[in-house]
Amino acid sequence: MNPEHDDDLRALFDATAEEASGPILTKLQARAREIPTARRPWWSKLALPGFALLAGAAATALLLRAGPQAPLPEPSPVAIAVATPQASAPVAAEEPERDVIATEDEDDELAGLEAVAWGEPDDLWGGVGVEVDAESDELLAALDSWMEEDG
Amino acid sequence: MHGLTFPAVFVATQPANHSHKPHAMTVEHELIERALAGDGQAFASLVAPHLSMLYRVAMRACGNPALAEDAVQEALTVAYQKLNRYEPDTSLKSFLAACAMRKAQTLLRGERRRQKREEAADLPEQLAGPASVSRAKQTAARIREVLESLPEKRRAAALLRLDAGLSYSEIATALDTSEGSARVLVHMALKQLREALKDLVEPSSLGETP
Repeated sequence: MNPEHDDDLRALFDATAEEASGPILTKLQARAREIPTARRPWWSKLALPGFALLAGAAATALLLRAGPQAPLPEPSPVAIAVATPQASAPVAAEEPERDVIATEDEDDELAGLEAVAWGEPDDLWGGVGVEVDAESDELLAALDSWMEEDG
Repeated sequence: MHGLTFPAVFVATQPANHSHKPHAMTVEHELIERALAGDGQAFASLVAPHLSMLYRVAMRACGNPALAEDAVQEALTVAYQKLNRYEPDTSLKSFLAACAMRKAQTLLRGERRRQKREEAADLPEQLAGPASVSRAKQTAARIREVLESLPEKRRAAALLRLDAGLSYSEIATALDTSEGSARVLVHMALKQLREALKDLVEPSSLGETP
């Protein structure tokens, strides 16, 4: 069949074709842009909430298993003696307080060290130094006079 | 989507010809890779040259702008689903055109069923009356009626030839048939169309068409 033979019909179809307007083309392009993200596999959309659900379910299962424990047999006195220092909950609870105290002590020590390192030397040693020098002078003078008397 | 064997048809019937338009192929291949990685802009760029043709084909097939838009979107969605098996040197255009045409026909059938249900429920007619329809639209509606009276493959061949502007080999690819069969289908379809639209096809009548 000669391709020219469909010219009459082609012209008729072209004249009556309903072309996409600018806004429609823009809309279609926007829809096309969304297809790759919209067509992700179903499990990839569920992956994040699925993992969260699984994690939650696992945590709940663990808690439920750990909660209603059957009463354990009475431990021996030796076991109690060994276990007591390790298993006392209040010790664990006091640890943060100890940390606070230790931190305060450390702060004081640090403040003292800073005063030694960066404080004014005159305040710390000035007065003492003058007194020591005066006593030394007196002592040396007395020693000198005593040696002269001996000599 | 019966009859659309995108990868098999495209790989088997269209031999690779990398020497033809190598740069365009590289760009298309790159766009496909990016689209497969989830880049929406790349997919939009890949199909952008065909959107106008797809809308025209869908509109001819269903005559309803909203349905035509949906048909184009569904055709693009199918294309994206099969994009990982697409070879860049084959005809994306013919695949998309066939997809859009079939989707439009499917959506039109659904819309007609819905309208029938509404008519059965004594709802008012929602379509615009003939007086408000322009002459071009009346002509388009008549062409659509004639197209619908054709057997399915002939209708598809005519639509792909006259609205999508596909070559015989592309029509053959789209309809999953040989090029010879595509030629015969187009020939028979055009013969029937010419007879049914005689008054419109004649030069004097054609000149009056807006």
